[in-house]
Formats: sequence, C-alpha cells, structure tokens
Amino acid sequence: MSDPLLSVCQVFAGYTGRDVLRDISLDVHEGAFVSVIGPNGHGKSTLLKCISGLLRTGGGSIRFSGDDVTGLAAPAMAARGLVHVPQGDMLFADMTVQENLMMGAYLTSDRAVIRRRLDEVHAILPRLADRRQQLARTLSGGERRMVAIGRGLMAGGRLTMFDEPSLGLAPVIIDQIYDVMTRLRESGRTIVLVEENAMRAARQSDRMYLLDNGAMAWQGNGEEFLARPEVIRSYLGG
Amino acid sequence: MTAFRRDLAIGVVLVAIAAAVPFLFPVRYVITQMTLLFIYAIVVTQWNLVLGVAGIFSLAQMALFACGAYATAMLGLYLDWSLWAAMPAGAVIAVVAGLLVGLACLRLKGPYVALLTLALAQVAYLVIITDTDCFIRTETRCEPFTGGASGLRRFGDLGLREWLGRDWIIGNYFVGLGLLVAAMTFSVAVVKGPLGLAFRALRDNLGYARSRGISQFKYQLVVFALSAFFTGLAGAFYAAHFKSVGPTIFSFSLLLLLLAMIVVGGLGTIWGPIVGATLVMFADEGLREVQDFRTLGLGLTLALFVLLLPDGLTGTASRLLARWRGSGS
Amino acid sequence: MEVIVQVIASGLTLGAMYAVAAVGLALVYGALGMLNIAHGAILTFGGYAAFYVITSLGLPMVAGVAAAVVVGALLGLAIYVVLVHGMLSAPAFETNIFIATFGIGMALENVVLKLFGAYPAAQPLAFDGAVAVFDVFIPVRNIVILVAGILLMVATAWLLTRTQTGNAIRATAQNRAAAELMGVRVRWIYAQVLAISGALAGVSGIMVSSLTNLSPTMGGDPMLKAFIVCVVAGLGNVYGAMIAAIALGLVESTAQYLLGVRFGLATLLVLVILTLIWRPHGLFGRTQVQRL
Repeated sequence: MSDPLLSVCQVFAGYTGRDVLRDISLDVHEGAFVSVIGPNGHGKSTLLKCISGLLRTGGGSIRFSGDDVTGLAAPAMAARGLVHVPQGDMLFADMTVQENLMMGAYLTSDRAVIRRRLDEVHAILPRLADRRQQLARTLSGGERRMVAIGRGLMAGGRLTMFDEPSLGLAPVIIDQIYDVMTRLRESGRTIVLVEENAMRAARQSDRMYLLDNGAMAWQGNGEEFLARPEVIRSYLGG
Repeated sequence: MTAFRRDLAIGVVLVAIAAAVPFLFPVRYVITQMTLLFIYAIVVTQWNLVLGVAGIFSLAQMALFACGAYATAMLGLYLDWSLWAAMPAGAVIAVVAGLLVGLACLRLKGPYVALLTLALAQVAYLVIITDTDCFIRTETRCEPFTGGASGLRRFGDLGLREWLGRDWIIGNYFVGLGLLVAAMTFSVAVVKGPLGLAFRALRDNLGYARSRGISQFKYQLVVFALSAFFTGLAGAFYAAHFKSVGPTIFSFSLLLLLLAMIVVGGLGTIWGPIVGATLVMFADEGLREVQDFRTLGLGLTLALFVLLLPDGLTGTASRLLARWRGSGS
Repeated sequence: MEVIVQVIASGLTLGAMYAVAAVGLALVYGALGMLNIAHGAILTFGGYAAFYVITSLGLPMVAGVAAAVVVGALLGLAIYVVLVHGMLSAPAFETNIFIATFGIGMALENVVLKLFGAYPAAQPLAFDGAVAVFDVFIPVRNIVILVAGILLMVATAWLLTRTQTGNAIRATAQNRAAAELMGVRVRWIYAQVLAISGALAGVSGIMVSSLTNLSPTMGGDPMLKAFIVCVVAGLGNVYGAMIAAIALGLVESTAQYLLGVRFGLATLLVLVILTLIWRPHGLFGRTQVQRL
C-alpha cells in the first residue's frame, strides 16, 4: 500500500495547558473518504485546527504528501493544498457570495483554472449561482454553509476537511449537504469529514475514527462500524 | 507578612523619606520639583484606577485636572474665595465634569472612549486658548474669562506665608504630600476592596460580569467620579501652589509624561504609578542638559516599555520575585 | 447664494482632506484593530518630505508628491516592523499599541522639530490663483485638494475591491482565521495595510500644509478630525469614513460660518457625542452580539 497523503502521528494539543487531544494518530490515503466521529466537545475540531495549522500542536508530528509539516502555519498548509472548511462557516460577512468563492481560490492565479472550478462549484451547488451578488451576511444558514463548502472547493486542494457541515441545519438542508458529500466522494476527492451523527457518516466512509475525550477510542471502516452497535451505544449514547 | 501589612510598611517608609527631604535638602528648587512630583503622582494614581484597574481607556484625566485648577483659580479670582474653600469646590466641579464624561462614554467601547475623551480635552483646550473677549478690564489690559492663552494669575494662595514666613514652600510641600497620601490610600482601598473586584470583573470579562449583575453603567460612573475627585483636587492644589494656571496643562507632552509614568511603573499595579512618577521625574531632571530631545526620549521610552516590559517595572519585578520564590522552595 | 457656495466649497475641501487622512486610519483599524496615534506625525513627515525635496533639492513637484508617499509608506512599514509585529500576539494589544504609537508619534514630532525647526514654513507644493464659481472666487488649491481627494478615494476603493491584495485586506479584516485558511499571509497583509495608510497620510500632509502651513505640530488637528470621522462612521469602516469625512467637512464649515472659527470644533464634537449616544458603534457600524 502507498504512503498516506496525510499522516497524523501521536499528536497532543491543548489550550493553555489542558490537553484537548492526547496521542492522536490518523492516516488519510489519496482518494479516501475518512470521517472522524465522536460527541461534541471531545476534540474533533481541535484536531482539524492542528492539521490545518490554525493551532499549534503540543507534541507529535504531522506529515502531508511525504513532507514533515509539523508546526507550519495555516497559510503555508493552504499553499500545500490542504483545505479546511471550518465549523461555523467563518465567511467573509461583508463580501458577496462570488467574492467569498474567489477568496477560496486566493492562491490560484490561473484564470482559466479558477473559471473551471467556479463552474464546477456552481454545478454542485446551483443555489450559489443565483446568489452571486448577495452579501454573505444576508444569507440563510443553509446558504451560508453552501458558500463555506463552495469556498473550500474553489481552492482545488489535494485534501479537503469539513468540520460538521450539517451542524445546526434543518433536516431537508442536511440531506442536500450530504448529497454534496456523496458527489464529492464519487468525484474521487480526498476528504476528511468531522461529524457528530455517526450513522450518516458511516454510510459514506472508507475509514472511521472515533474520538472520545481527546483520545482515539476506536477505528475501522464504515461497515465494521455499522456492525458494532455496542460501539455506537457506549460512546454516542445510541 | 500579609500583602496589606507589606503595602502599609512600604507606604510608611516612603512617607518618612518624603517627609525628611525638605530638611535634608533645603533647596527651593528640590522642594518645588518634589511638590510637582506629588501633584503628578496623585494624577497618575487616579488615572491608573481608570485606565489600569477599571480598564476604561479615558484620556480626559488632564482635562479633569484642568477643571479643578481652573475652577479654583476662578473662584479665587472672581468671587474672592479663600483657596482653602476653593480647592474642594474645584474637586467637586471636577467630579461633576467626570460624571458628564462618564455619561457621554457610557455605552462606548475602549477605542471610542479613548478618541472621544481625547477630543473633549482638545476642545476644552481650543476654547480656552482662543478666548479673547474681555471679561474684566484692568488698567493695563483686559483679561478674558478663562485667561485665554496666557492663563489666570493673582487669585491668591494658600496663605501659608503669613504663618510660616519663608518656609511657606515647605508648608505647601506637606500639603501636597498629605494629598498624595490621601489619594494613595483611596486608590489602595479601591483596588483591594469590593469595588476593585467589580472593576476587574468588568475589564476581564464584560459579558460575564454583566450577567452576574455587575452594572457597567454604575461602576463606570463611580470610577470616573471618584478618580475625578482627587485629580481635580490635585489640579486645585497645582493652581494654589504655583499661583497661576494656563492652557499648557492640556499639552500632549504633559499627557505623554504622565502616561510614561504609569507605563514605566506598571499599569494596573498599586505601587507602579508612584514608582513610575518618581523615576520618570528624576530621569527628566537628569536629562535637563539635553532638553531638546526630551519628547523624543519620553516617546521612545513609552514605546519601548510597552513593547518589551508591558507590565512595567513593578509588574515585572513582582513576577520575577514570584518565579524566584517558586524555584527556591 | 454666494455664502452658500463659499461654505459648500470650503466644506468639500475640508472633507476631502479629512477623508484622505481618515481612510488610512480606518483601513488600519479595520484590519488590525489598532488605533495608530502616530498617523498625525506621519502626515507631518509627508508634508515636510515634499517641502525638502522641492525647496532644498530643487526637484519638480511630482518628485515632492512621490517623496511624501514613499516617506509615509516607509514610516507605516517601520511601525509594523518595530512595534506591531512584536506586540500582535501579546495581551491587551489594543491598549498597548495605542500607547506605543502615541509615544512614537511624539518622538517623530520631536524629530521634525529638530530637523526643520519650530517656525512654520510655506508648502511649496501649492497652486495659486482662483476660479469664479457662481460669482464666488474659489482658490485653485482648494479645487486641487478636492480633486486629489476624490482621485485618492477612487483609487483606494479600486484597490480594495478590484485587486488581489485588496480582497485579502478585506478578508483579513472580516475574518482573520478564515483568511489564513485561504492562504493569506496575514502578517504581510498587516504590513501592507500600514504602508498604504502611511502613504495616504503622507499625501494628506501635503494637502493640509498647502492650505495652512508646515509646522512640526501640524498633524495633530487633522488627525483629531480624522479620528472623529472614523468614530462617527464606525471604526474600521472605510467607505463610511469617506462619507462621514465629507459630511463633517460641510458641518464644520457651516458651523464656522454661523458660530465663528472658535466653536467649529466644539460643535462638531457635540454632534459626534450625540451621534454616539444614538448609535454607539457609529453611523455605519453594526452592533455585535457578544457571546459569553
């Protein structure tokens, strides 16, 4: 088997001394759909922030595409093709939908490439094409989420991480978001998905990691997970 | 030894030293400069309460000082009040002004407060220096109500000359020292008391403090008013001691000097303002030779301290001390 | 009628001048959350740089403008390198940078005093003559200031909305962490913002001194006005600052005409306080919901 695209090895992290992550290891292979599940507040977002360079790790190493990238800052990670679609969208509120999408392609200078990605994003998320000139702050929650996802896709990264893309949305919208996830998976992209709703994630995932209280509690593939109801019950309360 | 006893001991030693100065160095210049130091130290301890303890970024402190000074001068000049009566009246007027400033800034956040208070002080300055309308006419010339650019004079003094003769200046010195001790006692009481706790809560986490029932409205006003009292009193004493008051007390370079005192000593600490005032004052004296570069030196000192020692000398010293004790045990 | 034209003309000139100074401040506050009190001193340096290049070196006026821009930008950059870079991640940045730039501003003013002396000098980069508008003679230099101000505003708006750097500046101001995730090197953006703001201050130094005179303390008054403009607009709001600057210029010239020069600023300030009591985050500012 080839080397993984992303390899997190024994990472520790915390805010002001208290460990939020303890001894976390995780591999993501090219083209895989990996999900990280677990209850809220158990370090899933922190893990993504450590990988994307928004937070410094307090020990351990991270390798991306064969290079040691431990301690690199977020812009440097973005330049290497690692995309992080953060929780809570973090849109540029006073920019239009179009401008937000263009910020996603900030590091790409080839106009033709940007044009092609924009068409792709509009094909996957047609609502964004209608809302082009609208300010991000005036969008509905579901539309905001779509802008955040679209902005992430505009980077054309080698690996895209989504932090709870279904959080706080109406069930109908959640279905739409998951349709998008399915399309991205089918297009062969490498994806890391953080999700609280394990059952939804399990249906998509090539590999799943269960994060409990800052430590890795279980890992396996989607079918294994679905076949082990006791895991679900003990960690996620049924 | 408790922190309170330690602070008390430091205070007593400092007062004893200060009380000995006029007898050890009976030089008029030294005594005058020391008296000025006391005045500045009062302003700085009170400003520190607003800035460092309550976390309200007001730059109107010298305007409140000016309120006290001008009010005292005017009461003496126009109403023939004794300055002993005019001084507390000036302080009360400064409190009223402080309340007004507090009300205007009530709903504003940090930087807005800074800019608004700076602008208020600047407006007061401009209104005074452009004042040329005759209010009273003497034989030689006419005096505008606020004294205009040249300021107010001949409004009396503390009257210690009749009592102490040539030593009146030493009398003034001890009045200044007494005021400083009162202001210092007050600020320690604020920092250590329940008021200080509320201020700290408001500064550190506004939202949480509010939700616990600490009213920003009330406490901001209390800070402004209380600190304005001693600041105004310092201004009043300034006018009485120098027997003149002019618009130079609004100048940016004086603001710079006072801010440097707080920052060098340590913003938000108890002894910082006193330490800072003393050090900056002495350094300023020592550099009298190169006075042309005074502002340059002060400005750079201020910037360097904020950059390298943001806790000031006392803050850094107590941190080092704590670390040394920690490693020793 | 003549009076109205006069008041409007002088109000627009003042407004254009304040706008150029205020936009720089607003850009810096918007991106970094810092009040740059050294802005006035940079403005003074810009005015004197043009003076030095034209009067002492005998170079043409264009070189004077270029000198003001370059000196302003370099000073802005220096403030980033010396102060901001080291203080950004330290606690109480907003308060500390305010104090530090106050110190630096005073120091810079002292340097100008040492280099050029305390006596006011005339700005050589100024235009003489007057043009009649509705039978009112308006000095050419006022018109030049107005035109230059408008051009600079258009250029700033173009930079912010049509260039990659401008997009990155706006993105950083709106959400720093998200901008970093897009690959924006935020600290480099901060340095650029301070340089741009410094360049604008340099040019506004020429404008201010061509109306009055060059003096080491000339930066104080326009900076205070620029701050008032920013406060009224809502700190960090660049377009709001442009509008507020013009509005305040008109209000000030009206107040000066009706109440005399002495109370122009006082009136302005009363209006500002009333505005802030009515809207604590400025006219164009939004109230932020605070999360606990």
